[in-house]
Amino acid sequence: MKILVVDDDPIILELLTEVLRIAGYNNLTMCESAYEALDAIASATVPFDCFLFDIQMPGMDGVELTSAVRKMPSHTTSPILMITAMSDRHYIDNAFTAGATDYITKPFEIAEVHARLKGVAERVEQRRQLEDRNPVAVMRAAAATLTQADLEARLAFVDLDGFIEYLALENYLLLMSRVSLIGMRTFGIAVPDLERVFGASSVFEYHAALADFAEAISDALKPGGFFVAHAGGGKFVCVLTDGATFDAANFEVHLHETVAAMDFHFCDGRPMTLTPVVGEAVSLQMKSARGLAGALVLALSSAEAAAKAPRARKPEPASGNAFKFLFGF
Amino acid sequence: MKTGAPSAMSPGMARVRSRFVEELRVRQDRLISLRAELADGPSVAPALDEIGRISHKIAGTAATLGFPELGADASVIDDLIDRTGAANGTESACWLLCDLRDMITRLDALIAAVGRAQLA
Repeated sequence: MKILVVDDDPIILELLTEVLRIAGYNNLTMCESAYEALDAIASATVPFDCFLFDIQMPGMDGVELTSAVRKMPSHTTSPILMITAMSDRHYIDNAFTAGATDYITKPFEIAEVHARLKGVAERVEQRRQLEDRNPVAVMRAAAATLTQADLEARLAFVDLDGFIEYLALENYLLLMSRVSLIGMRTFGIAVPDLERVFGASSVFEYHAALADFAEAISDALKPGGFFVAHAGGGKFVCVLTDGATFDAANFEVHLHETVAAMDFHFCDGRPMTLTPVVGEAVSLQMKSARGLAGALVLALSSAEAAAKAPRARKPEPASGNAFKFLFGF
Repeated sequence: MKTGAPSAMSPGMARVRSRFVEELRVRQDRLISLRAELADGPSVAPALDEIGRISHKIAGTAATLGFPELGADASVIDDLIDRTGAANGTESACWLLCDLRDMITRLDALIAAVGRAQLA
């Protein structure tokens, strides 16, 4: 696994070099600034598999560097681990918003770094094996007809506000369990009959429609604090950082309106009707690490159940802004 | 001061630890100068900014290399400066939120802890 480590403290770079070598990672590139790192990424003949970024650095910081790396087509889903002494919630939120996959706080336990990297290495290896088995799959995939595997795949819409990968969302919640889960809630969104709607579509068409739908979710959730991950198919799981007064039924109405306003169409001009349903919100307060992963599953199950028996639509509010309408204050 | 047992470290980690201790000498000298600026200088923001950066680096490494108390002392100062906004040069906010005498006392504790770490 080819790893790029960025930290402005040479001692940390030496320390991480040793920590990584002990775990068997020897293909390492060390940079003392974000600018140096961007040069290293640009000049790499073989792309990096994984990134470890400090946050607080002079000039461009680690969060800005994460945003810059995420904009590179070859690194939209590459694992980015923040290794930082910044443990306040707003630093964590900013890092995940920018596209971080995981977050390790300094001072770190060597065993903890090894454990997190083991998970990353397994993921990198799985992706590599997939590409080795079918090297042209990625090139052909866009034009190919949609398969069940395409439908089940979890997609990353990391360029959309609030969207992060499912794994990153789990990692975020695990971190929050050590900081504060007060007011945090999760809920699922499901689009019923997705297989039927996209039965004859290409992968491109499906991905484009899902990206538009994801944008509708992101727009509908603003301006609150939130993270959303695609959970495969037409399912999304949302985490509200301050969702104590969230009302699922009201949000469902608002999401319908947002989707309707976007006026979705298939590539051949036919109108596309997506009628999302929203599951009941699950409080994350007082949840254990295991309970947090379970809460995401529960939120998705609730949305799936709602997809089978959609709730009666509530009338639209006569007035008031969307934020007041959704959250009831 | 409690420290991790160097004998339990790999040779590579022991080398990094030695480098860290060497660097502590430089950082201790700099912290002593900055302390003087903090106590007597006309403007505390630049001094606090640099103290914050040095503390941040010590806080991030010390415990992993076997100096948990040093790391904790550095972390207190790092957090305090980060929260008061001194790193952004907002000196008035810092003056309002941070008791300068308390900061100097804490800095003295950090300088002493750095000194002890070099002898460990």
